[in-house]
Amino acid sequence: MNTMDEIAYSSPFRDWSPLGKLALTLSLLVSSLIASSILIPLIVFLVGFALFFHSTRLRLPRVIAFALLNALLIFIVSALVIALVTAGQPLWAVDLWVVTLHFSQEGVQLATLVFFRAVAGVMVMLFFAASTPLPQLANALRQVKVPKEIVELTVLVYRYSFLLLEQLSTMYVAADCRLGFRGYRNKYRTTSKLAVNVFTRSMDMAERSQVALNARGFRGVFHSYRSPVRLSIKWIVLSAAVFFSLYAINQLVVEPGHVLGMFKM
Amino acid sequence: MHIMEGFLPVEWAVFWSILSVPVVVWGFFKIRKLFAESPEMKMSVALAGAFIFVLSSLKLPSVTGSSSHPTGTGASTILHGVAITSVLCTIVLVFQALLLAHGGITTLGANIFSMGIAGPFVGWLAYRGMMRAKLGLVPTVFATAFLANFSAYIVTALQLALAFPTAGSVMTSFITFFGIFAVTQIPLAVVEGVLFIMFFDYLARTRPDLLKGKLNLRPKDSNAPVKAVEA
Repeated sequence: MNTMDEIAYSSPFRDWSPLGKLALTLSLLVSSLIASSILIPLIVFLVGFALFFHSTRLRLPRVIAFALLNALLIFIVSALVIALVTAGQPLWAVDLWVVTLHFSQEGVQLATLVFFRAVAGVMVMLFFAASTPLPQLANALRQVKVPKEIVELTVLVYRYSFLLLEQLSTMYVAADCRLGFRGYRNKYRTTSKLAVNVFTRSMDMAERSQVALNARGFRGVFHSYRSPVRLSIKWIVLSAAVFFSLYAINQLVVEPGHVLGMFKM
Repeated sequence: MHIMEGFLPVEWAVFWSILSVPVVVWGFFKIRKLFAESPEMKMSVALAGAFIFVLSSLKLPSVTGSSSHPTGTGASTILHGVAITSVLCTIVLVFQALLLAHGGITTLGANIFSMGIAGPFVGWLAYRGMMRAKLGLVPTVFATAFLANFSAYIVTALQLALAFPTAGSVMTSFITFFGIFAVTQIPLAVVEGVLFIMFFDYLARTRPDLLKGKLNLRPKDSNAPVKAVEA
């Protein structure tokens, strides 16, 4: 996660408007979601991949790579379940001795579409996360009148997550060196103690931070003096153009006769 | 168990978001009131959110051979209540979606509803019931953590079943989703219950001040000497 933060801060797209990038991301995600043709998620994936590649040169933190592989596994299992529960024309039957699994044509089509939507969605979200430091996004949310309490809470949760993760990592290594994770029973016992220690340390840290803030004259509000780039009209136009273009391509693929008919004299 | 990006059709993504918004807004007003009355709580609430996020990085072995992680919503419900937990869950779910590719932006409303509202609410009902019945720490914490986790999973299975019914039957689809994910989720809910019994037991002995008025602590829960503060 730390490296993800570093990647976001070193991205060439870092100085683009965070809300602009969010609008573009949302338009790509929604276009992929409402499409009934598999072509749209594929286009969204390619756009997301190109932006992600340019932003990171494919420098992916190991923890994110593992998270992506984990996500891919969940996509496959969930898509299989969708293929299984959707009724329609029988396509395959897989005999597993105890039970026979029936896959319909409609089920397989829907599962494939959902799978590609998910993969495209993750790629677009990765581009956004790898080019937008979260504190910058949180501060940008003030421009759309998100309450300052939520913005501050988001930034604080983000900052303290890094500190707690660092402490957890140190405690984890210490417990591991003492064979604290040997066997299931020890694993659960050590995990619960790690959780308690992280929690009590977080409480201590909160008390110490409060004292430090009070000593510096804290009046209950965190001021931010470096506002991120504002959302301009060109971002709204770009996002709308992307959305309508993808919508038109989808209609052209799914109902070509209907779309072409609209242009007949 | 989160619903991943792209898995919910637009109408269901909007529907669950509409259901989640009022509770999160209620949570926001509670947090605003809390911060206005005692600004020093800002740090505590923020660190509780960071704790939930960090907790989700603690991997636990699961029956299928893979590993899973606790959600921490049961513990947060005991410590902060449903409304504040829903706001903290919203922030944590955004971080998980963007930083760990776990969950999604268009499925955020559905995930907030299952993990941040329904789970904590059921856990809170169990917690209040157990507190009224004056039951001890072990059954109260286990029931709260188990039910918060398990009901979040039931709601997630229902959300998927509503989005993908089998030949128009939501029930058939629900049983399929419920059955397949039960292999990992039921043991995980039990494990989370056991983990938080150990968590609150240890917390009651080391920092009983943090649990004042929260659980029916017996004298032996909070006064027993701590053998060693490990790692």
